[in-house]
Amino acid sequence: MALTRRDFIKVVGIGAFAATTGCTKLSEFMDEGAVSVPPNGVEKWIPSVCGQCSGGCGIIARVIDGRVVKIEGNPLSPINRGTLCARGQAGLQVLYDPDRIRAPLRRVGDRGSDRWREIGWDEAIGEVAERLNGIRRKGIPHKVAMISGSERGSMDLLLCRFMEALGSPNYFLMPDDNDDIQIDAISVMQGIKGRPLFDISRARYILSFGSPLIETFSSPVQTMRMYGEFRGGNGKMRGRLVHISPRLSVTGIKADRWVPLRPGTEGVFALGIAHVIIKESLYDRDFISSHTSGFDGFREILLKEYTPSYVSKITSLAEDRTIEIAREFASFRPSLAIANRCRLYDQMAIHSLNALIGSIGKRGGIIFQSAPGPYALPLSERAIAMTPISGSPYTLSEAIRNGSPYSLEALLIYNCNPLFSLPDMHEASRGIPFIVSFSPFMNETARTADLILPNNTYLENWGDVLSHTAEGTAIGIRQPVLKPIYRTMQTGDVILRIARNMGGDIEKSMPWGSFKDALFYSLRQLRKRKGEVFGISKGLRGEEEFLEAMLAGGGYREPSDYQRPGEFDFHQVTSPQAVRDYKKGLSGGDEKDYPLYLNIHRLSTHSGITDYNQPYLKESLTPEIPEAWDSWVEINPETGKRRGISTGDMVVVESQAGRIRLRARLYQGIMPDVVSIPFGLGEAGLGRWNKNIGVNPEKILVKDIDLPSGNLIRNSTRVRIYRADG
Amino acid sequence: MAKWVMVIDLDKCTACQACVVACQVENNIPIAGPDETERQRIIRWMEIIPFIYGEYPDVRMRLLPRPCMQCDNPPCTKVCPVRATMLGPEGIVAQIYPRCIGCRYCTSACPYTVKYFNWHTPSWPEEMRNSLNPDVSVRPAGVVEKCTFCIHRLQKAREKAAAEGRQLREGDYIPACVQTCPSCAMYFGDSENPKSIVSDLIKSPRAFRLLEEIGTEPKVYYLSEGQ
Repeated sequence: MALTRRDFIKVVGIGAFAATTGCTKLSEFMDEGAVSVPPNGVEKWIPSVCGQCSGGCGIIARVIDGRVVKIEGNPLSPINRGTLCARGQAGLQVLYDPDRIRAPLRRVGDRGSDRWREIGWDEAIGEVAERLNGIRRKGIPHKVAMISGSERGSMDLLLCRFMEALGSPNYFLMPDDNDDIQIDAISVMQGIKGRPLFDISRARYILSFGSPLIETFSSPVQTMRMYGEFRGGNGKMRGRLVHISPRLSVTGIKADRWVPLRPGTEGVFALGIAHVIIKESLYDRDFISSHTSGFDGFREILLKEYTPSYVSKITSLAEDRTIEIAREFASFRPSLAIANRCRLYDQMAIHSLNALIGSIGKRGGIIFQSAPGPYALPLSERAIAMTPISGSPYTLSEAIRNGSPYSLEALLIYNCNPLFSLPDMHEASRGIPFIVSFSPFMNETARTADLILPNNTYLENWGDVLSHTAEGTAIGIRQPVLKPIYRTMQTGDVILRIARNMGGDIEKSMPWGSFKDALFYSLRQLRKRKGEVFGISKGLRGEEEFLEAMLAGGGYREPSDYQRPGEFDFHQVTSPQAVRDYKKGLSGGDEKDYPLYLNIHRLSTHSGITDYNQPYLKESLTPEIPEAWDSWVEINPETGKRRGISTGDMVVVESQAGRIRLRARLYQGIMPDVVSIPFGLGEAGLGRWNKNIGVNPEKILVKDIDLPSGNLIRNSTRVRIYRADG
Repeated sequence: MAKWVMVIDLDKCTACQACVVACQVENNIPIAGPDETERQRIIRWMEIIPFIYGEYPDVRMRLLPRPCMQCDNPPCTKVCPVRATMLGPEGIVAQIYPRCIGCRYCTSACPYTVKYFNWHTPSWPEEMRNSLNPDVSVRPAGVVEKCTFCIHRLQKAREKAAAEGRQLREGDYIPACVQTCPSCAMYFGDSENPKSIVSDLIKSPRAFRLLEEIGTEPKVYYLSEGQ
């Protein structure tokens, strides 16, 4: 595809025109007195770990006289090998965010009134300890819940331990935005709980079923590095990528082929591919006979029911498409089928393709590493009698609202924004008498809290992040690159101080003076293991030298113990319940009243799990759509034309659950009966760069929980769309 | 004399925009905000430009990272009335801010639209000024700016090599965008050095340059997708 001068002028010429012909008063650009840059000085590079997502990239911060002026990737980290993504690069806008919470706050007005008073740390910690002790004394400690952002390291263990010591089973990990893989299917079909690793770099063919593979997947920088290798880096043969999804995403654009597919038909399409592979005997006989069960029954049902003509009827794709993709998938081995974390049975159908061609437990396929990580803080011995209030964070709001199985007395929220990213939490939060937030930012959730005990930002904190690569396991060590710039405190230290204040058993089970002590306790144990410090393999004498070297290099790594993949169970893919689900499709409203499906897509710059009061990211939301500083809804030009909608028009998108207003963007890369809105904006924070910026499409999701997995189904909501003025 | 060249492998590029943000942080690019962005006055020395071909369902897109092409025959320098923009000895097109009178002839002349005008005195909230890079000056209102291939990094790398009593080595000097690229899709080096990676890559049958036919002789090469 040649890029002509005409193409180029067409696309970029508009911007140039505007820039050179804008009519402006002279005074606007004649003002003097540019900003002076603080002076140069002694430069230090301090290794740490990025905190913009849970991917665990090693970073090095360039510090000059106590100012942090740049973040780069740590070349010694096996996760990112010296590189960093856009979010990682924008990290200084987290640290120097002018709208950070600078001291502990007590709410003085009604919830949501945004009226606060600064208080001292002793008062804040004392009050939390007293309230929790009060609840304990009443014998109802299970009525305290905590929601924590996904962290893979000692902080997670410390919080878990605190909740156990308190006597509550209600420690919830926020679903990880990057866990967009068939993790539920793997757990059900193979009995494996650990985190699988997709060996993308060595695969030759990838079938992505709507996966945000190169936007935000697993550990994003690591995935992008593997993608570079997949495309022929390191002297390998170039791999081929096919993306199947209702929307042409960045992954779809970079793919060799985009196959638009109706929402909710992924499972059937995958089974159609499986049909062809079986019919043409392209499957891996050895793997199937030695590592799977139930294949004969699976084969029989597939051959009978999921013929290309049936699949074509359900998916509206030509029969040849299915056949062609099946042949490619089976012949370019090793190949990988990657699913979104959608309905369990769809995940299972897609994952069965990996089993058919034996891409499980081998290079270029899905690798399983021993889990959990190589070290841990010992958990407390205390047994907890009560069952959790909810099995999944997605059903938490319902349980709280109904007070069933019981109500909540207190909710502690760490490193996440559940009012933004879990359904119906706003309403549920009203029934909780005591809400404590540890957020460093005034986000939607913090705004409802009674007390805010602001955490430091990641560049001011201690911590560790456990990650897996195809070569092994790594623990990145986060160390402060500067002292806290405000009156904030590392939440790990706050939790230990609350425990001390509460006294008794809780104090005894949290014996560390500071979070740093707890962290170093964990890190010292690594010395007995077989791994090595980043950059140094041998010759370290004594514990202190080992610790020092780890801090200087940024972490520790060790080769993996590969887990056997576990027997793959084909039975469940074609169980009566599964078949019912495939046939049922999606149900998120009446087709007549709501003729379009709502698709919610991911942006590489905004995960939606934390706060993005970061202007550089708001300016460069996504490369394929020239929009910034606002949300938009993508509409196929045909669909827009029929409704009199053009790019830039304000439109209303309405579902059974509600309606939102936003700007329309006609896009050739969206199916005619689907509209798509990006996720991550509309955080309802109070920062100057996220206040009133964009809308959150999840506010109009018709709540649809996939019962077998507890997942929130995000692509089943039906909507209608019309001009806001019409 | 070195000749600095950038190569971008579009097959490996994930259009993640790490290069865009890395450049903004490194080079003290002002924050535009919603209004100035709407008026197309946003400054991005490195930008990903989308091209769309065809109609649904046969639609193809291309995402092209676009820095300054550092032309060997730059149209922008020829129209500058005050020699505020000129071709440097190692092929980097320089922008001399104190000389610039803000006429924006160069902005119009550049076929790649890489030249940006400062409509305002850039400002940062007080808290954020600590993050400014002391190696790069902040440009005043009324001047044009663009990608410099992070030439301040070349100066530092040279000083360091001199202090260590050695020649500049391959990899000593790379711009911020290349350094951060997660999929390792970007390469940078001296094309006059036959041992450099870039001197190999630019001979690849996949290599092309933007608007080569107009004779600007860009020093940014792309490796095409799909091969």
